[in-house]
Amino acid sequence: MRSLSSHLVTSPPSPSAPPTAPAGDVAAFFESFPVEVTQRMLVFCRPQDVIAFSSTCRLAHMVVFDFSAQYLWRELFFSHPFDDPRQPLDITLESDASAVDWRHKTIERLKAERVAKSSRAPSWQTSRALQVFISMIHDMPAVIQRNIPVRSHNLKWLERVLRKSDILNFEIEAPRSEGMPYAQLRAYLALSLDEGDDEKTRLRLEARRKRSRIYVYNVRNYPGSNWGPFLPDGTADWIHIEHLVNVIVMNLRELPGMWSRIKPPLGLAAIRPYSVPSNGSEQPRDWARVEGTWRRYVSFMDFRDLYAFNFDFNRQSDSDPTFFDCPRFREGTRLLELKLRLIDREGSRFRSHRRASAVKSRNDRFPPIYFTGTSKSVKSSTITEGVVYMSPDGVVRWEFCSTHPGGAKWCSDGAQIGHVASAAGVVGVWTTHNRCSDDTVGPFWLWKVKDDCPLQLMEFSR
Amino acid sequence: MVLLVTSDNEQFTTDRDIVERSVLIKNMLEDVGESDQPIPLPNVSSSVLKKVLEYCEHHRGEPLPTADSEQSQDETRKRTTDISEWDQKFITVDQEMLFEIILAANYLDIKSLLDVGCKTVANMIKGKTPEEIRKLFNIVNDFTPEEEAQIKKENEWAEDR
Amino acid sequence: MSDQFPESTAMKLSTAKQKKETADQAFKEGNLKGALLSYHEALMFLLGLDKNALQSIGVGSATPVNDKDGKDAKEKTEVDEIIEKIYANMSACHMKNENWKRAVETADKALAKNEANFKAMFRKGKALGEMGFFDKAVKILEEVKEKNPTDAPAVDAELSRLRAIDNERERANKQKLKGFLNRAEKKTAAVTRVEESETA
Repeated sequence: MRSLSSHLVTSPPSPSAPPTAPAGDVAAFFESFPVEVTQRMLVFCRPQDVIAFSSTCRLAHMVVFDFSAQYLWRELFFSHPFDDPRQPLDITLESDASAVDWRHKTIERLKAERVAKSSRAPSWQTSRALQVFISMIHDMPAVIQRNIPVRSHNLKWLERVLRKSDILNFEIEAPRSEGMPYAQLRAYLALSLDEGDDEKTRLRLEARRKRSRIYVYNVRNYPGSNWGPFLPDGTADWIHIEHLVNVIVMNLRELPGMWSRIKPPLGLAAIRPYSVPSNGSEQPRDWARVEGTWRRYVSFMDFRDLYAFNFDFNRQSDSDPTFFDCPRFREGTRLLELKLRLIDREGSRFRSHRRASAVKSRNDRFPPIYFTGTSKSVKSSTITEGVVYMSPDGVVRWEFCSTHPGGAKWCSDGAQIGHVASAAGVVGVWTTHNRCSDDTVGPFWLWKVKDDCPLQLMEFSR
Repeated sequence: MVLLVTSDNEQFTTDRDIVERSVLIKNMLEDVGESDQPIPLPNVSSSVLKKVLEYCEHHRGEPLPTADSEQSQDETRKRTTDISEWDQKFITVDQEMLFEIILAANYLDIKSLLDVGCKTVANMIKGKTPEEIRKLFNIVNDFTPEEEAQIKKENEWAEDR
Repeated sequence: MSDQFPESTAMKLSTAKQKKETADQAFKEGNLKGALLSYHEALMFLLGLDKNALQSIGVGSATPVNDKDGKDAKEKTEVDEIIEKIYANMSACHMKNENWKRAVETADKALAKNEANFKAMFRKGKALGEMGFFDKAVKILEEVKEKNPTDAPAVDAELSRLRAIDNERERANKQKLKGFLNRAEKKTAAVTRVEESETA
């Protein structure tokens, strides 16, 4: 224990004093700084420097880690800078805004950054880091607040960290629970950071596409009435969603000519809350921004191929990637246009929808939205009806059906990628109404465009 | 004119608008007005007050930071550790004086000067290892070897590579 | 004022106490300016004494204390208490002077030292009410009532006084708004007529 004398404020450093003070004196100066002054000083440091300072002695350690240090860490957090995690839009409703642990939040992010840089972090660290990245994505603010465009600091940080990292490139053979954060983050990014055309990237993406096709076109992954990309408890199945994303994005990259430019906006900027294009006429009750004009890509396999892939008795397993290497393999992609408007629950076929009704009481701010509209393809025009509601884990879920003039019905079930009213839109599964186990299935991507966007329809088969 | 008396009993006479950069003194002058009585500053020495007044004189007339500017709507802000050229030159003093100035700025409530001092120390710390920081400020390592090993392990992630 | 400034902490503390007593006396005699002057002078001696890194984060007690440390720790709490009292009393002076802004500032300083200083809290609430921050004032005064029920009658009296002021203000505003709306209605009606005639 060193002297606590308060001579630092009283000792007159008179001109006659020796020019170099004894070593002990200087140390005493530092130690008798008021805590708030030392913390103010540390506010101007990087977190790494603050940590280094804390490791010098017990007093320094306490100044940084004592409970009174939340002020310091709050300042470090905001000056990093990160987005304010106390968003009014917080859809999970679980965080108590007043009780943010700024130190914990700052340090876990810097640790995650470290893990992303390292090539062999233990899997528990990696999975923690992925959770941190996902929570940072959820913290991104709405694109416009009070009529002012708002930048996202988290977005900038995440793009920098993830672009340089290999963390998302590993194909992991892990239990579903461990694979879920990988899949969620990759679904959010939608290959937007994988744009390199070097051989290594190409091979990696081809391998991923094959895995995703095997998953998406395996009819056993669509059990019973629960065929959508959601788990039986109503939470999102990100593993399924990521595979759907991969199949569509890779297909879109192969579209010829002008069609390759017609695609949903991808990447972190496109999954921010309310990044969807606005027509300036949104109703307050339309929290999901349903009303308006939408583009929709659907991909599908020729039914005979689908059948052969799933039920060919010569094949021992249903996950033979070589099936998709066969030159005769065909996958089609179709572009449709939807025009949607809201209707009252009473007037909707979905009024007694079990899952939508179940969540109604759970989240008053995001009640189910019922809609109707038209869906146009090159061949036909159909009536589309559906419901949008909030899943228990805060994912915006879309379910809708289209009825063809002949009476055939197709149903879709999808998840909004990212936040409420994201520009990236909705990715999901389409199949037959009252689906049987060997019925056809395929992925779709639905995203919103401005109302004055010219009609674009097409059909492409490779 | 305002009269100030330091801990070593030296008298300073200065203009009100100079010394009012100190919120502590500003509040006093606003509450009771100027008088012939000197304002006692028993916690600042004359050599430090001289420096502080030099700073206040250079920055006289600049707007004082208000309480509102500290808590703006958008809390996120990139903190800069940049220091203006004049301030940089002003704060180039030995470590003892630097710490005295910081303490005086805190005591007299002169935010901008406190920040100049704090930024200067922050810039000294930047990028240094704990051992280098100890040497810089004559800090005695009072951790036990076990504690030190534990802390090193916990803080591994923060080491610059 | 003595010719020589005391150097040691103890001497400063005793000078500060004397100044505070002078100030308290002046306040009693109704000499508000004299009171504020002496309170400010007391602060000049006290501020800077209360700041000690080791003690204010509670290390002093966690380590074996020698005599000197023990004494310092005691002085520190005493210093804090005096500063709290001085600011609370300064707030009272400003209330009497109807200098509401400074009353709030000094009350806040007292509350920073002790958030359960109900006198300071009451003054803050009343001063905010006078400044027109009615909602904030009510919130603080309700808090005083809840945490310190003995103050309830005084708080209630102040609350009803503020409510009366606020109601009067609102009534006046409504009157104004009504006039404005009437004008706005006439204007809209005029515009609508123009539009109708244009589309017709």
